[in-house]
Amino acid sequence: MIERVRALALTDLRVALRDNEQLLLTLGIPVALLVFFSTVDVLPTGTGEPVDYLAPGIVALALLSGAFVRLAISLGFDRGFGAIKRFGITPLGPGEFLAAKGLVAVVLFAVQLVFLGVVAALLGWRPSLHIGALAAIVLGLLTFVGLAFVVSGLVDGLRSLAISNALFIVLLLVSGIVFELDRLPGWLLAVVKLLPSTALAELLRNTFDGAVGPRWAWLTLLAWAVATPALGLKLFRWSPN
Amino acid sequence: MPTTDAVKGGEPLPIEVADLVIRYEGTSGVPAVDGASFVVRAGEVVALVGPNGAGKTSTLQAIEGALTSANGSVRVFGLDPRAERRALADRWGVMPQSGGLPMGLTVGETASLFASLHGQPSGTAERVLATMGLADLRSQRWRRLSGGEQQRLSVAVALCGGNDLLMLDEPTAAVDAAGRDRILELISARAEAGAGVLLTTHRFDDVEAVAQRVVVMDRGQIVASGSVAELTAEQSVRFTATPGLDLSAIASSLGVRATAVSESGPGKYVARVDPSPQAVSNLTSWLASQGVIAEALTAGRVPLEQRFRDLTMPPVDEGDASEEAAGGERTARRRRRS
Repeated sequence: MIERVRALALTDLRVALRDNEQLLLTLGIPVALLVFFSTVDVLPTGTGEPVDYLAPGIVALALLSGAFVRLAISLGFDRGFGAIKRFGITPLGPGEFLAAKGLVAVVLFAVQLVFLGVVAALLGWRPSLHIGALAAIVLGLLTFVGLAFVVSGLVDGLRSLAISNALFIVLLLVSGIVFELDRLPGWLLAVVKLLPSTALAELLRNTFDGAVGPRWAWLTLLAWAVATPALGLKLFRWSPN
Repeated sequence: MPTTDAVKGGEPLPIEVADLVIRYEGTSGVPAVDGASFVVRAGEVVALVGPNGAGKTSTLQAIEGALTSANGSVRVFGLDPRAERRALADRWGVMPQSGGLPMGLTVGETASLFASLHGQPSGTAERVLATMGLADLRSQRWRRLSGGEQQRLSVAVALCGGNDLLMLDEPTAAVDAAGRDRILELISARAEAGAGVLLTTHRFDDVEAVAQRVVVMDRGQIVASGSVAELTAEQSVRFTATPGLDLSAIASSLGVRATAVSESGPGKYVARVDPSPQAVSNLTSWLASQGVIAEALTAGRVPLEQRFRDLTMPPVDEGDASEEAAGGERTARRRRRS
């Protein structure tokens, strides 16, 4: 089992790292957003340095784009094309397939994190890391890899691309990733606190500042981290729709 | 499920299909496969042939365990492929008809990955690529290959799978002559090494080159099965001439009963008779007396492709022949199938 997961993960990783367009999306866009909004004061980022508010949010954004959008699109197209069906004829199980894809997301996120950390440090970010940051990242990866499997389990190809991008934009706008949650109306705030992206951004902002983070955010993210991989596996199918 | 062929030397057969019925939603209850039964033994190549829509690919998918809507019995090495798919995946190599391979991978990466997933020893992928004539394309990505090269890689991936059973859905489609020869050699070699092989194809020269047995499907049913020699054993006289000739008179010239002669298509006549030089001479004399020139007159064993056409395209009614001649072959086939 481990050999199969390793073989698929290493092959996928090699493909991801040599794909220039994908690297631009994975590494370039989060860094560009961080640099732009840290140096051009157009977002309501509070009274402190913009980079102090933005860096944890951009880390959350990078996790969303890498673990969720990239994976949902690639799974949707591969399934629509019939390439995933070919794996279903091998001894590889759905759980192993998900594990391999998840491992690739972890490694790509680690690369993103290093890249973003260096750039943020150059912009003056000096985080006070709490160990809880690692737990939040692990829960976030589980949540969004699982969500990619959920979306791609429901729709193939272009529809997977459209839905995952639409979800990404909505989550980006309402989850306190690039501006403070306090700006949202009360009724919307109550709703967005149930979103995994809100909980992730809140926890990263706290744990990168030396705090544990609010209980509601931990419980929310934990629930999503359990639910989406389980639902993703349940919806998983090898063949196209 | 069949019991007489179920076990050979204690080892369950690679494939046993009994009374397989497959229905898809939205097909007005017409089954895609309707009561198919056949076996594939270790060391033999079985060709599943039939016109488009005959149910070949559905049958293969049921054997792969990919269809939940299949009824009847399907056993692969004695196991239910729907319940034991992963256990069987170690033993089989499968090439589906549709579907691609991961587009971003190179030829070498693709073969290595699938060999690893099947737990094959290192070097398997390289060996398969070399025998498929793909070694020089090792660094090419899938999407940059020609159609024939993609097909060869698809076969190569199946060959990187388990060694006990090979299932190939139209493996030589879109492949050039050299590539086809390689594929057929590998199929024969795999069977000689003891594997059961099931392949579907529309190429009858492929069937004659590698298959020990042929299973003919039409509209979901098995309409004939046997060796190539058995299927082509029937003797006949065939010729093409003006549509609508008097079948009784043709039969009379050949010295057989009227029911032995039919018009299998507009102007295509078949007389099921053991041909003698005298009978052929009598026939051509009669045709001459009618002022008719016979084209493509053959006498003797029925070629496999012709036998297949006979099985899957029943003769037209005598009264329809002239009308269909005007409407063309497509119209005639449509009417026969309706």
